[in-house]
Amino acid sequence: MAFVAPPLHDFARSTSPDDLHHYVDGLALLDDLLCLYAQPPRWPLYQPMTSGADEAGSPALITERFADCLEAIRSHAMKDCLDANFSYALTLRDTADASRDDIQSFLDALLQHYGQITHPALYPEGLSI
Amino acid sequence: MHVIPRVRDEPGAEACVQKTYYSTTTFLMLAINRHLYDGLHYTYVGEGFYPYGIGNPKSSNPLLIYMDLYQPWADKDPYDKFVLQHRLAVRKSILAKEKDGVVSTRIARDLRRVADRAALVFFYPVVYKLNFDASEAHAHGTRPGLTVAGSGLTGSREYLIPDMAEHEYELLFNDHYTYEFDQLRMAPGYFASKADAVNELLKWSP
Repeated sequence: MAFVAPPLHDFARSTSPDDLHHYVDGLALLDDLLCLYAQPPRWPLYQPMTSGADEAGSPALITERFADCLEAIRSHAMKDCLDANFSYALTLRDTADASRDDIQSFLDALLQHYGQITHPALYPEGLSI
Repeated sequence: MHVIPRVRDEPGAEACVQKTYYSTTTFLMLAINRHLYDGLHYTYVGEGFYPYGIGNPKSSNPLLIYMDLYQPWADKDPYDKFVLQHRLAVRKSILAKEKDGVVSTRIARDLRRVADRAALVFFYPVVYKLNFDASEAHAHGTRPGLTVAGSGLTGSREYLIPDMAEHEYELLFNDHYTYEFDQLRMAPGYFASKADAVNELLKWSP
């Protein structure tokens, strides 16, 4: 398995501007789930005040917020891809020691995808009023 | 009040050298911390600006992080992976601050656009120089909230300060003078509201 992404035209045709924001939030949380196992490692940064530093990047903390993102997305394609990526990311994390290359590939693909969907040609206008 | 250890030079006493801790970030994150996050900075600090040979990995090396950010800024490369990673890092901060109630849902929504679309000029790297010895503060428990984290958990010299205040650091390399930075360079409290502050950032986030 590998990182999966909706077709780019799904983002261009999206009728829900907030879908992109929830989707990108999901990408950020996926990155936080695995970044500790990247090459070189990076430190998880999603840490609400109610959580300790040792909880940052943990499946429990990420899952809670990720579920909110997923629920808010209206596009089935975005929702399904994000959900599949989350399941895969959890599997990678569980086998992190043996999956370093796969984790790096996943994170590289995620980052490239993020760069594509935030390109001005696709980025929604008028999100801020 | 935070205790700042001093060098002891009493005759016969073992010298105690204060260690200096640094952290590299971008002008964008600095501006958001100052004007949207109540002047509090979520910061990993490493011992020394270039902690060579003391076990800090690259992600805990302020100089290497500075180089990773400076190069795409200078080359105007919006697709550089360090720029994109930093944009996601800003996104993660927004998620946390929105959950904490530091920013409203409306402000957080606008900040998301800033994270994704802020002009590359805002990725100019700057450096925090901590004005106290983090290891001493941790050892004596004099700085609540300061914890061993990141690579510090595996023996390198790194700490996390989730709420570094303005008076706890000196800002280095804040020397890129461009009109986009004018108002955002001001101290916390400059903007009448967080809405005004985020609108200033939105001007540069097409």
